[in-house]
Amino acid sequence: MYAIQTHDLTKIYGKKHAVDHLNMTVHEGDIYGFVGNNGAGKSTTMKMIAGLASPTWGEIELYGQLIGAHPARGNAGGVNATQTHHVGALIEEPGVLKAHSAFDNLMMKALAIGVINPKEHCRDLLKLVGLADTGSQPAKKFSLGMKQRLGLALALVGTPDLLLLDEPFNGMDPQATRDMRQALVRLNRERGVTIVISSHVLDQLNRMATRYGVVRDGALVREITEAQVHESCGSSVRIKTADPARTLATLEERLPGANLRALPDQAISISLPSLVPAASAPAAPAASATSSSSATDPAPAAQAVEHISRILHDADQVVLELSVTERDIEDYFVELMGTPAPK
Amino acid sequence: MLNLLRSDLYRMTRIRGLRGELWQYASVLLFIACLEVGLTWFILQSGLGPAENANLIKELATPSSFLGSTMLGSFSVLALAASFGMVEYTLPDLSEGYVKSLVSSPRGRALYLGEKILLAGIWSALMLALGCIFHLVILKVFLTMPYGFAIQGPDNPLAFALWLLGAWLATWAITVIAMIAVAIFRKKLPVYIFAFAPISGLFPLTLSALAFSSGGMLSFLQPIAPALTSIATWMPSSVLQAFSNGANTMFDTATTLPLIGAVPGWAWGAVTGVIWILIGSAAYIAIGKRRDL
Repeated sequence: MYAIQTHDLTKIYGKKHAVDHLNMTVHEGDIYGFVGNNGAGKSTTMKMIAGLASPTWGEIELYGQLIGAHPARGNAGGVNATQTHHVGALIEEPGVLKAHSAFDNLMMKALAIGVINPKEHCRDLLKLVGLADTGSQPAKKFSLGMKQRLGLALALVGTPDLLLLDEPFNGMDPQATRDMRQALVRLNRERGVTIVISSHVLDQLNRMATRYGVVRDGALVREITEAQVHESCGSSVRIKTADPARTLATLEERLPGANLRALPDQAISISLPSLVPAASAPAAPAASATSSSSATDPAPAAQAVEHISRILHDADQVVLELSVTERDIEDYFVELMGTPAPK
Repeated sequence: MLNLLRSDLYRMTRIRGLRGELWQYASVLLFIACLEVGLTWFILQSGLGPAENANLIKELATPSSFLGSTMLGSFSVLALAASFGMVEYTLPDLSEGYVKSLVSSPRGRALYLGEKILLAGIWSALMLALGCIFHLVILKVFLTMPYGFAIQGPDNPLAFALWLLGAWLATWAITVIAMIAVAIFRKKLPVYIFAFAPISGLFPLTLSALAFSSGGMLSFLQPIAPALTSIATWMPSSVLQAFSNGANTMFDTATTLPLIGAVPGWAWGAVTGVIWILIGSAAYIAIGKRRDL
């Protein structure tokens, strides 16, 4: 099932087409990276999906249910989430009541949406976002990063099925950003929460997104999976061992279908996209999301490296070099963001 | 909607640092009660002339006349507390973006707006109740017990209940009208200016002035002058003005209507309140649903 589908979604402010016939598809369970320049229409699109703005034209379906449509269908003004799926949103600003503490902010929302055991739920969320020690301090005294974390916690109240996050890591320090990113990935993997996340920091998106939507001038330029990104970027795993011939034979046997290439310097290159199905095999256990090592970042690249490492170890191969090389994803997306949308 | 109400009551009752609006406005009402009774005490201490004596006797005739003179009138303290309380409560939802987090969840926007109208009614009732209690208690403690200045006699219970009902509905109506300003402007200064207008009786005054001027400069308004006067009569601030004299006029004729005839004070007050609550609510919901968040 699709979590989100938009058909010809359009939003016009005066003469400006903020969103222009956008056709977007987010699968259930995706972490959808929404990429685009400033003013490309990302926030406006997310606001329409969240019911905070009415479309001028077009339709939005959430989990197969029509929630927003052109005025002719008589439903443009009253956009609500579906009856059975809960949507959490952090769009443009944290949406925090500054006169109240972090706990009270969460409690108010928890009570408003009818969460069972609201106090316990709010305490857990405060621990998750690292604000458990703020006590009764009013939110107006928080730093930007703390307000952003509280905004994220507000979006998570009630354990939503769909999260819409617009630049959620603004103002956060690297440690907090990594912790939040890992928490979101964990939510996605363990509870199947679908996440749509827009960010200018492509490195952050690259570490978590399973699918990307690139938007320019209000229209969707391209929708691609993570595997397609790596394929397009020419991502590969480079291996150097003491016995390259035997290594090549072992890999050909153990990785059927993988695109292997012997390099002039006795190294072997394996195209990463051709490895992704193999890397997802049950033999490679998922890494813990709480580990600080980047190798435990549950991206297909890391899983592929782990899988190859095990194969070589089992074959008693002495590994001299094992690394992932790829073209700069930033260059790839910047190029895409400069591409006009298809007519 | 009950969940939204629970959430709002939780927010209003946060006591630490007086963050909850209920405690803030209760403090204001208590202060005003002390100020008004204190002013009366000062007048008493300075010696009463015949005019002040007559006024004081009239104000202390019944509980409703005392409460009406102190809380209602041409500039109603009750309407001020109720409408500014709700305006200050709902404005941060929009200006600080809290509403975005709330309406994207299953509750939706229409429910949020409807609940705020209901909350305005509850808030108006709370302000009325607290205002009455504070004024009566402060009077008892600072004037009656030391100086013997007491309320002369009780109100007719039914008249008093109808007076309270009319005052509450009129205050609720003014509060809802003030909330329209929040939906339109979303910024403090224009919201406060707009909210101030119904409290001060600006609209009925303007309509009455236009009707009066139709006999002179604005003669083109003459055909609609009676309608202007009628509309000015059927406005919530006009009700509060009339109710400031107490509950003794509840069963007297307040106005007349074609086909219906004489309308007693209590019915006029209640119907005016209900009509403007409905008009204000419709406008608030229509504007709130139409604008982007």
